[in-house]
Amino acid sequence: MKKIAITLMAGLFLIASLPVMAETTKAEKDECLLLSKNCATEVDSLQKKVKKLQTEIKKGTRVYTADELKTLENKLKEVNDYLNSLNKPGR
Amino acid sequence: MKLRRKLPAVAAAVVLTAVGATSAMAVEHQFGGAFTTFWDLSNYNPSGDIKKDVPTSNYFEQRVRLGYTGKASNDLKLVTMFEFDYSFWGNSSYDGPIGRGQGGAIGADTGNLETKSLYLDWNIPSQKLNAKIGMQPFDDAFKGIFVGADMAGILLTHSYTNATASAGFFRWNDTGATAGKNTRDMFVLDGKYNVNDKTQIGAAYYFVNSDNISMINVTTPEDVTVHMLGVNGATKVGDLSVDGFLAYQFGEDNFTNVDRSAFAGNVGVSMPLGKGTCRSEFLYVSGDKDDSSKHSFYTPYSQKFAQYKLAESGFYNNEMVILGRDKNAMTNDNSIVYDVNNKNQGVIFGSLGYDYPLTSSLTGSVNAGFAAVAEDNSGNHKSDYLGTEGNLELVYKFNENLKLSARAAYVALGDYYDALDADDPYDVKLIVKYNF
Repeated sequence: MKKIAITLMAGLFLIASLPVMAETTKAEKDECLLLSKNCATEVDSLQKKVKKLQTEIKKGTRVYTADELKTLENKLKEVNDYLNSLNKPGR
Repeated sequence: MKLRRKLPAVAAAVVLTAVGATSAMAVEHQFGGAFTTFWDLSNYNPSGDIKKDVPTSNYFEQRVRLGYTGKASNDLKLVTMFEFDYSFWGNSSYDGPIGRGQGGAIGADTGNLETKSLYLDWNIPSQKLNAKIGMQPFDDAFKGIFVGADMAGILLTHSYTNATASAGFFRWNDTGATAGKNTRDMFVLDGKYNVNDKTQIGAAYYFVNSDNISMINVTTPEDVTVHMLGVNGATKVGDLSVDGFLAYQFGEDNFTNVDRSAFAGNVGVSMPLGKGTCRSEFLYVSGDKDDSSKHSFYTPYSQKFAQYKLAESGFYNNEMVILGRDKNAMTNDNSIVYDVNNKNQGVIFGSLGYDYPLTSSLTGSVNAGFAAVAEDNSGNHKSDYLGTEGNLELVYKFNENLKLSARAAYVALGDYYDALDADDPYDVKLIVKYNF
């Protein structure tokens, strides 16, 4: 009985340890330093923000209410307008 | 109160303070930027001269725009944008503090920061109202022929289900010894209505009151009132998209006592053709035979460039490079028809263009256009015809942030320039553009 209990505990311990070990392996490379990706202070580029908003808007009423969709559409217009103003011609 | 009794109260206060601080400090930070550098080979830029035996120039020009938006919530944000230009590489270094467009020479170190926008963008959802307060970009509802510039003011926009209504006040200049006395102000009323998902109509009224403001290097101050009324619309019929406007100006030049009565009209169309898109624009703007403001269309000159009659407006829809404003031009910004006032002569402008996706990342465009003055105000020209432009553009999208492009343009000058026996102007640009 004692042996069974010890074996079960050891098994549970191993299973519980698996995600931690996987995270450790993933975190071995610092992608922020190496590839400028997944930095804690990363801010989306305007283009990335446009894509994210377009993806969410495409989900439509299946996911969002009409008011929420309008908010997302307004945000998309806002980002596009800002992108245009960055590239506005003139002196 | 004993310390043991005080502790729960202190802890509660600390928690409440922390919650409050977290909510107040939750600001979304958005950064954006655009970097553009081009090499230009031209007998027209950067001088803008049209003459005989004009030399060929080649130069590099650079611009960076950086923007930061601090959003306390969806309904409250501060919008800022700054610009750094080198009007051409190699121009100067260790310059300043007035170093606009300077610092492109070895050593750099020049104060060349320009502030474009600094404004508060505030929504009041319960009132369906948006307020923009401060130095902000404003574009008219008439494809930019009247005004399109950064300006300080307050713009209020109320949203309805299928419409918006805006009212605004902008202070363009204040040049007198007493603040608020000699000012040039613009008042705006603008409405847009979505008839359905394919058709939009609009109407706008602008009022400019320029009260004896002084212009740099111009002896005569500007003292005018201008009322502008216009309607605009856009619709889609099958594959054909049509948009356009009609605008009328009236008012008085208080210096010359001349009453103004000017007119502008435009129609633009576009439709798919093969794999590409075909575009066309036609613009007519009235002018004066006697170089007065009687029938010339008022476009506001910036105080700084008034001596060159360079207005804070621009019509870019016809995709011209030399005949009309070039969308790629930065500090060195020249064109034969710089604004639709066109030195009080007005303009007749027509263009045809075609955009074609050559591959998933390479796009080609070809444009042709003609321009003539509506009225020749010197009388010394053989004809009203200014010229015909042809231009070609290739844009390669390296990735979603980086574009490489090449654009070449040539203008066959019309008989308006016959007496000058001038060389036909041309311009070739190789451009790198990075956006984030």
